[in-house]
Amino acid sequence: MYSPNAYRVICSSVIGLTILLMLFSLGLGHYFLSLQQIIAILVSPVYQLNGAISDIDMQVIWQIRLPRILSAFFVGGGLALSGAVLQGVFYNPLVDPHVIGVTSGSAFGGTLAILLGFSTFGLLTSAFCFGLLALILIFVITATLKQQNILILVLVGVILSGFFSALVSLVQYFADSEETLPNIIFWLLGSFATANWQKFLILVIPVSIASFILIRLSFRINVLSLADNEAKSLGISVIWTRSLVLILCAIIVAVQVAICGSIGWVGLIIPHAARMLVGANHQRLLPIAFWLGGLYMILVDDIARLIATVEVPLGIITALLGAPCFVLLLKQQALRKE
Amino acid sequence: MHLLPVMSVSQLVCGYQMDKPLTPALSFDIEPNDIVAILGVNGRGKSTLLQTLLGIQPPLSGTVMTECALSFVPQFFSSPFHYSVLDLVLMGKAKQLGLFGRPDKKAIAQALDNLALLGMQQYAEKAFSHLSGGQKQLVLMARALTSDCQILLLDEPTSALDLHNQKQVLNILNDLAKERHLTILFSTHDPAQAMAIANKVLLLDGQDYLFGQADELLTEQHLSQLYQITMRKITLARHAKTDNCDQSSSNQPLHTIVPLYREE
Repeated sequence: MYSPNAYRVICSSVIGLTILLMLFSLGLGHYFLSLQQIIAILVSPVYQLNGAISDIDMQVIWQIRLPRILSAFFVGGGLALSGAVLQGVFYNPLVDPHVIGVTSGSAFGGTLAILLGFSTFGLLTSAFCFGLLALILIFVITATLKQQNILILVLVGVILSGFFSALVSLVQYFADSEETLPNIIFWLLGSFATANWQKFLILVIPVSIASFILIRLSFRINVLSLADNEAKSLGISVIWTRSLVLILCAIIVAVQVAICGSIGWVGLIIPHAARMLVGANHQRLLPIAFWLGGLYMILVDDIARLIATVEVPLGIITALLGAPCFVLLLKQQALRKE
Repeated sequence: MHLLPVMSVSQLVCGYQMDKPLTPALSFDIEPNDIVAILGVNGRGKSTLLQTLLGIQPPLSGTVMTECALSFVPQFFSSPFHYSVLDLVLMGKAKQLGLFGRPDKKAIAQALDNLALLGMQQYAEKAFSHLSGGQKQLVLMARALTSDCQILLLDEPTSALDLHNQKQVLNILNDLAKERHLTILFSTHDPAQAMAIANKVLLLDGQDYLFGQADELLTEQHLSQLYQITMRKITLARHAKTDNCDQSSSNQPLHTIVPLYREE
């Protein structure tokens, strides 16, 4: 249990750190900009600070890095939030957003669009629609089985993930190995290299709305995390509430995969880190998980941009960082229990 | 004097499969402030009956009529997440708060009051998972009280407790019925507990059942038949010091009933 004051200090620290990292990240890259330059560029629309600002500086910040960093923040935040929510709703701390099969559905939609040579907008639409198709299939299959319990939901998610992964492999098999296949692989591993304001808007509107509703539902998510019969005995409609939560998480995951490909681990480890900071209560956990996920993803994107002369896909870095981080978190939790 | 029932059960059959009902067709009325003990051997549908009365398990047939708010205290409860005791007790407010509702200061004060009533206020900030079995049971009862229920259903509330904690829980149930005017239904394997606090009992025995006043039904004959073991009713002269969970006024003798595990 954390006192309101301790919670406020943690929130302020995480938000402050995120804003600092955002500012710092705006200057990072092969075209370096100092903090002074960054602040001058950011305030330039309303106030001219001393010192010359070149058009290139303006373009690097406003057209390339700012939409990229903000996209990374909302993608990381959305993934961590949906991971925390799904861990709660499935009352299983080892669940991540991929468990509902939406990631694989979106991945198939995206790879199919690349294979068929769709435009960027076509790719986004295809990835998003196939993600939602996976969600609809979950509801259709569970309704056909006439069972709505957690085990069935997880099993259907696993089945759909396997099915859509096979379709992704099939697309890769038929893809031209010179041009299309590398594009598919790079897209699948995740990147913000093509981020722009248009994509940011497509991302930020659904992620913000879904995240806001999920945070408003946080007390209900507490009750859902107890187990079906417990939640029913406390008077809430389990199937209806869980379906609403699944739809909101699926929207976040589908739009995230559509914008920047499949990124693993964030939705698994960040909720654990957030839980260590503020405890299990989703009313405190969800906002912190969102900010911490955003912070983490900006950091990962910085590493992806700077670690080599060519950009490293995000999925590789999140896995390389995520696996040891997860071991450390598990060790920390074990020590706490002792 | 017969009061208007707070719950009417009519031809209620509980179970999971139509061809394998767990209970016979039950019909009984529960009156305000009743403490009803549900007794029966394993697999006779005590827990299923409570879940059916609560509305989370559909009946195979029959009806349960009540206009009162019900709350449930499960036999066991665990969560993979380490909620604090206060967080867990506040979840009792879920039904009243609506989809987007959150507990306010008034709800927190009520939850703390209920914890205090059960002597658990000092544990409000502790993790529920770190409490003992008896403490967990009291927290779950505080959660049920926080829901502002009029009827409290408890599934074997003392099954995992030592004798001291069993007595404490029984005393609290007795007090809740008297002071908060709650109607209480609880399942138990121990007829002595039913004798200690219940005014009515429901004996579930395969395809038969008995429902009525505790002092009429808790006999050696009925209980020996129910449990297939010889039971002996013992009457004790009352001493000056009395317990809370006695059945009657202080001048009357105390009764209890015990199984004879070894018959010479």
